[in-house]
Amino acid sequence: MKRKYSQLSLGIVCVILGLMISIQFKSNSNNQNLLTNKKIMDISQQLDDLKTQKDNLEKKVQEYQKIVDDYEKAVTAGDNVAKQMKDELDRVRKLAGLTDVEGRGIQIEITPAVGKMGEGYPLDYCLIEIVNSLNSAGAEAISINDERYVSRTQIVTAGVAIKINDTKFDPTEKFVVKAIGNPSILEGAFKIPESIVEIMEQQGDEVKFKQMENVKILKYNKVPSYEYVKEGR
Amino acid sequence: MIPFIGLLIGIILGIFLKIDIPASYTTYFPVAILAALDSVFGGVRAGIENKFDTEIFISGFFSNIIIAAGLTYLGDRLGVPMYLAAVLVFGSRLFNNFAIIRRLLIEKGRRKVKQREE
Repeated sequence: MKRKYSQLSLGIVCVILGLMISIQFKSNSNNQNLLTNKKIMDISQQLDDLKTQKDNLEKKVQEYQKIVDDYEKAVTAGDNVAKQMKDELDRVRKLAGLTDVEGRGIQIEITPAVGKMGEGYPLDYCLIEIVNSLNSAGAEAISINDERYVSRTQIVTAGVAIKINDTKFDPTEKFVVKAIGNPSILEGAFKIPESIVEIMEQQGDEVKFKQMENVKILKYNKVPSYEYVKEGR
Repeated sequence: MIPFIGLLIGIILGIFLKIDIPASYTTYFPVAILAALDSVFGGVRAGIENKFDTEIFISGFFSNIIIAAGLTYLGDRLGVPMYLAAVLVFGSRLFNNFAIIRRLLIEKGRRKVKQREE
């Protein structure tokens, strides 16, 4: 009798042990790619390295751009046709957003509500609405966090980040939208009832407007390439 | 026999039940398993030696698990890998117990063979 009792208690404990083991096996095979601390550190180190690399390369690009500008100036000096072509080229570049520009405009600072990720109206839609409103109010150049808004700019949620011009931004941090145009008209676009800014403020996001005499907007810093588009004429 | 059936039932239950360990407990669970394994081996050994005591076994099983997990937690807080202590102790005890179980079983077998020969 006593032996049976002991066997039974051993059996019950073995049920628990088996349960634990199989749960552990299952969760281990689920988390094959579970990151260890060392991996995380390695990856963040890599990220930092790549960031400095990117900065250095960007600096180099700027240097070379200056050289190209100098060449263009040298070529056009004294040649009327070339000068006209250069003017046209500059104009087209400005239209395409490939030059830094400045002028009167407004700056909109958006501080997303704390701890409300994933609730209410998503921030990427808010940004799209804001850009749309700015465009309809006659904005001539727009940038979000110094990413120039051009015809091929995307504003989408990618994972936990918001992707603008393929650059990722943390949607819990401050966003700065800059626009060049008539400052009061631009700001007025958001003062109408049920505007996007009103919705955002109801959600708890903080939106601050600043009319400025001189807004600097950086150029679109990618080389637009076309794979499918062909000349229509 | 019953322990084996129990183990099988537990494993099957674990496979079919949708239980997930929260990610923050992933370090404690393996240590707890090791502690449980040690207790079970200890129990089997005691059973073979005819010294098995249910109360001691059950209380040892649970307190081992709790202490192992608690040590790991404490180690996490202090920044010292305390779970290594649990792994080392339970691991060496596992080997010890297993060696003794093996010896006892072999001796038992020999005795039986001798009895039959006589």
